[in-house]
Amino acid sequence: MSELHWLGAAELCAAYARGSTSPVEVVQALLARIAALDDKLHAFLSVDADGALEAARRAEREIRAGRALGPLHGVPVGIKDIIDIAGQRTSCQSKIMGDHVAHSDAHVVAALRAAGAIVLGKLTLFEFAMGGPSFDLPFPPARNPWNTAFHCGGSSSGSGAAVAGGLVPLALGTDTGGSIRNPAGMCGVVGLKPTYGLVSRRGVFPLAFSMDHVGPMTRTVADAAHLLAAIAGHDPQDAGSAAVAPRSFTADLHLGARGLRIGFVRHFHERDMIAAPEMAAALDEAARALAAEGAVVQDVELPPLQDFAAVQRVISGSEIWSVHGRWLRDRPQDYAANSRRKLMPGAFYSAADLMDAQRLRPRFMRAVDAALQEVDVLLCANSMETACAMDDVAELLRTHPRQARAPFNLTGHPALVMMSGVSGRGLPLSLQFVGRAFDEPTVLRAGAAYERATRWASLRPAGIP
Amino acid sequence: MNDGSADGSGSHAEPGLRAKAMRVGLGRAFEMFPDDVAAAESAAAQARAAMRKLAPLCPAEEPWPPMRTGAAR
Repeated sequence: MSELHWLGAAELCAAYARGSTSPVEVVQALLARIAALDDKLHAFLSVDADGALEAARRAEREIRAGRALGPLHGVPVGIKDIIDIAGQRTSCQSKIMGDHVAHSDAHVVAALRAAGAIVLGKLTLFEFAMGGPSFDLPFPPARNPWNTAFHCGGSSSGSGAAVAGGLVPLALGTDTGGSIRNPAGMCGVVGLKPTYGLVSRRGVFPLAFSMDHVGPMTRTVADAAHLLAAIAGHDPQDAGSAAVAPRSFTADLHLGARGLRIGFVRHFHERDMIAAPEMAAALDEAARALAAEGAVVQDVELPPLQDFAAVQRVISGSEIWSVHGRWLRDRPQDYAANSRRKLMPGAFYSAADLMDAQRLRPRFMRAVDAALQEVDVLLCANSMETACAMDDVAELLRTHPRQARAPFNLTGHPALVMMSGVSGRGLPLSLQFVGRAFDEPTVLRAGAAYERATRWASLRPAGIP
Repeated sequence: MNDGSADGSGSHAEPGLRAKAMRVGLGRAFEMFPDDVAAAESAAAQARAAMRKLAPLCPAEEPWPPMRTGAAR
């Protein structure tokens, strides 16, 4: 059998059923790997070894007694530390939160426990899911398993590092302007921002209310589908939660690309922002690979990235200010420097600015809807660049906004990011699939077809053993 | 990433930024981190300007999220 730390949920589920390994063995193997590597990766803020081992023993008893709950039973999961776990600290990677301890599980954590998943610990992030890789906080920033001198992307940086580094097979991230998809792309894993409202945000510290999403980060598309199945569903206690009929997220994974109509949004990376040549070449190659699998690929046009970004920034900035304004006024020194810069712009928008942005927003939602009338799924860039060195502040500032993720936080459409190659410097390249609202099954189908047609999901980071 | 002198005099903060910062309650932040406040104000100005370049709104264009009485719970 492969090393236990590289097995995904689907493989672990099968191994448990065969009796070739057990949840206790897997948790012990991951705890040992975390002990060996996390001083280098800084993916975990805290590890609940006792709680995880206790849950593993319980899962082992249940599975052996023939009472397996499903594909996540006995599978460890890491939780971004902006999501509440009862009895544990939710730091949001910030001094501001002090020793805040959650009194109950977030809806998504409760759902994972109900599916039998084992909560292994809390994962590093950019401060309040917004800052950057900061060295002026009490918590060190996560490092990229492909090269630990490089950043992981963010804000779900620990989730990306932990999954890519084989510290945990599944993780939860959050995504307000791309915070699942950025680290997924930088770390070479799968990250899914679900449709707005599909997954409850209850118990998740807010960033921008109308753009916050919770979603899976995994090493395979199938695992993302399994994780999404466990956490999706209507939550009447989340005002943004949608009451949509449940669908299977795994049923279409085997269908392949044949007959799938894919709209290639070339202008995002060829006209609006010029992508690094390797990233652009990988997108072209992905379009060719999908066509070779039987997809019908055609170019489609959306509004320019800069137009999406302008409206998205005004709305998210205003919502962020309503959350952080009082702290930024009273104790700005308690934020990291790059968090202050990213959290304060909302102070300078007027009510008229926000209202204009909110009235412009439906134009962009309709534009994406219209494109998806002609095709089943969109293919586009994720980041325009690979990760840069952690300590290269100028390059961090230059590359951070060079992305095509935020449009789908503005519109709410589901978006899946996955690896599309390896750069000359040995870092992951990535791409993005975008689907109709609540049509995650088709987005995941496209991703699974691409995954099968390429070898990227089988690669392991070179920066760690 | 920032840090001019405590009163902002050694920073790149534009004249008049102090008044803007005071108006929005960021006086303390301006005293301590004038360049961060300047960067935030500049980012907001750029986003606002980019938004104003978009096609003008018709009077009947409604905001999103919409107001839905009784639908939140």
